[in-house]
Amino acid sequence: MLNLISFQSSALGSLGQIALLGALAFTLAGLALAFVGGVRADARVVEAARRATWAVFALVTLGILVLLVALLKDDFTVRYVAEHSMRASPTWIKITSLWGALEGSILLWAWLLSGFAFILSLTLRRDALRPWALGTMFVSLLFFVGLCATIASPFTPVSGLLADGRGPNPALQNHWMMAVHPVLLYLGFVGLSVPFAYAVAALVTGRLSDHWVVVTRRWTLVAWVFLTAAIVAGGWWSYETLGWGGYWAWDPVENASFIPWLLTTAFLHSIQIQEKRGLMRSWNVWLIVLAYSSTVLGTFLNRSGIVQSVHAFAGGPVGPVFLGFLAFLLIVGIGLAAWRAPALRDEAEVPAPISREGAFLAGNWLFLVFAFMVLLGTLFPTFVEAVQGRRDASVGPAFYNAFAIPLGLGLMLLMGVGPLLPWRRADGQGLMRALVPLLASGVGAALIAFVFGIRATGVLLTIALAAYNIVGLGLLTARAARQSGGLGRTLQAQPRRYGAYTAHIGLVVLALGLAFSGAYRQDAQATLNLRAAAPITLLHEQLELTGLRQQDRGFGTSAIASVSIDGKPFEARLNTYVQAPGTLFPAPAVRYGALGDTYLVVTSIDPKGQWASIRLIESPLVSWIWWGTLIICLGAGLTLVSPARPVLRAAPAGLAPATD
Amino acid sequence: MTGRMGIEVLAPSLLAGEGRGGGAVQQRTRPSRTLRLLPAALCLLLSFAHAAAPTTPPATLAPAQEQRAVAIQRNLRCPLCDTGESIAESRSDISIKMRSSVREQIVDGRSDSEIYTFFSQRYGNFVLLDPPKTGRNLLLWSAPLLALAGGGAVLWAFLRRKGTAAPASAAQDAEPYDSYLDQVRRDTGGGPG
Repeated sequence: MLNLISFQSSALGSLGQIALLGALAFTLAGLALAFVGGVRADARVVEAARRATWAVFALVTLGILVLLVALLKDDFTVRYVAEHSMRASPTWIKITSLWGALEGSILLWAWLLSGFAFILSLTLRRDALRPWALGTMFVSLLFFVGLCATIASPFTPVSGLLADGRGPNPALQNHWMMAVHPVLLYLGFVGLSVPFAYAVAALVTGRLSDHWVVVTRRWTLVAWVFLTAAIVAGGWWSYETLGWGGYWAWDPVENASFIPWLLTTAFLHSIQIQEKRGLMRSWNVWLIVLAYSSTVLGTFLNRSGIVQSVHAFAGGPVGPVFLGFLAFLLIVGIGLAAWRAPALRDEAEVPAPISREGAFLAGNWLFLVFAFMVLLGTLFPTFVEAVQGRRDASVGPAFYNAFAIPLGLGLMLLMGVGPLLPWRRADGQGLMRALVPLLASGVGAALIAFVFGIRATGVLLTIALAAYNIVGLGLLTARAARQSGGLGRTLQAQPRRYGAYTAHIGLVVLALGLAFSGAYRQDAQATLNLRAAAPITLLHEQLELTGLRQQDRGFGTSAIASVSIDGKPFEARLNTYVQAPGTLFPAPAVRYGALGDTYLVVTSIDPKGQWASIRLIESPLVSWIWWGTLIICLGAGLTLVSPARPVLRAAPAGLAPATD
Repeated sequence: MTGRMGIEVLAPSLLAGEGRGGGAVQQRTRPSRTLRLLPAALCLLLSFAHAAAPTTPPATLAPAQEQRAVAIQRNLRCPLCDTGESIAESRSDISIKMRSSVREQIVDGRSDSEIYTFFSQRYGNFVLLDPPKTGRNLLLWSAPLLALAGGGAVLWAFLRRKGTAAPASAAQDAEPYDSYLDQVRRDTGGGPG
């Protein structure tokens, strides 16, 4: 029997545990109320369910605050603090330790989920969907609150009191991104629970209100922005700390966050078909069910240890529980969709293949194949192990890149043509006329790049598609500005359209960054001696070791190599932490540039202080990935700005696509 | 001839590199469940040991050969690391030895596939990060293509479902889609228009 609570051993632990158990009780009550309210269509019962979310939010907030206080006060009577924190850590590490290990991260997840449920309870309309959307949120809450109140509780009693805690995972205290990336990722994952709740409500009731499309799109977009930022922030973290000069390794857990992104991006495009044309209703519901399930799959992969990954730092009993929840979501989702799909059948006419809808659907097709490919590559070694009984397969970047590059280029092609096309059907000749300048600029850009010595096919195609996209968006914007009498006016009238254009431009910038840094990264290694007679030349740079020193930081030590590269000082570190004395954590020195980064990492340092082995990496346009992502997020944020209602109504007629 | 002997000599030393005894070596030649249990710590510990003695690359390669070496090293997985790193990135001792083995085999004039076979025979298919397109891996490589074809067929069938859609009349175009109106129409049983 699980011993959940002991009043003698820890005051804070008991308080936290009581708060979580109380939240669990309110979650169960809320679930029952929502169900009864939905079946009987009783507004008073639904209101009670709605208010239950407030109690859950308040109690989980209390739980997480208790844990935070315990971490900051070094209260080692609380199990989580004893196992994952220590006195010597700086304050910011103590705060990030809150989500640095399994129990805390599930508590953070539950807290964000209860926060989203709270916001949802304030914004839900009084319609037939309301009890079922609330009920679905309670099901998700039941899973996460249930986990953190029982088998993954951070507050269960400790057997013996420790003088100091065991400290956080050293890999997670090496960089301040620990404060950013996990939280963004959870906001993205948890954010998808709301559209999922709306999707289930639509399936149960068999109806989609006007409100449904607007709200679902909005919540998904918010989650998508967080997810996008989180994935790239993770890549940047990897770039800054792992010392390999890369940002994406097709690691199983990276893939697990990328699959929901692909599905959500597909959804954000196909929901527009439903919004404008009333088509693809059941398809959209399917997509959002899949996207939410894939976030749970991602967490399962992360936490169960069935895949080998750089993130495999947390295991424990929750793996099977996540698998059970995933199976439950898929079975309920697919069952409901199969039962209710006829009620969501489209009645509008099918669009022509060459139309805005056609481009969106072709994009959906590529996004889904992409997601399937990533999922297959991630799980294939596990399948082989299940069949053969041993680990006998690996799937590396070679496999993923073989498909991801053509699929990505295909998506860029559609991304350029989509905004040009009108809804319903395009007139072929008009489309060709509109496409000519785009194609010409694409070919021209690729030729110029060729003259400048670029030979890699993937890079040439990326450049061509980048020019094609940018010229297309530029022409559309110029035409709209001319028609509405000024750039400012059309921007104001159509924030959503220009937000989407901005996001597309951000994606083009990002794609160029990926293409160049992937194809033209240079890498060299050398051992530098202190007081060497002459600097060493590496990748056309003059390298000189100017100093080696040791720094004691209380919670660990840093060996610092000062290197002058072409006269500019670089300080690369090798950190060790008291929790893992033998393990070295490199902290590279990176000089960011608009056209390329210079990246220095120390691989080993002479204990006697005479030499240091270094690795120098030069990659072009890496920073375009980070800037591109910022542009994407700003653009996506702009699409959330709503214009005045009459303008929205007038928009399709007034600002027609290029083919008219 | 001498190069070939060098490889034969190197092979056991690769295996014995971190072996604590004959048993461990035996297990590593045929990766078994114990392989999984070998902790990453071991691999990192060895890299620390390596810090005392930086190794120098054994042979200078022509630029084209060097490119081949790097490409092969990126596609071989460090057999002892839990992180899924390639030997090109890994700092573990075994990766360093495998890297020099790759270079020596290239000097010897072995083809890429011979080099991959060399390593997969010793460490299992586990080390092949670029799964060869044979046997069961054909499932892996063909499934995305099948998904692409299948999805394309479904999409085409959907877009062609009712023949070519009739060009929308001007009157319909002027009326933007209104889901409330649509809902009312369906609830009242009346079709659009």
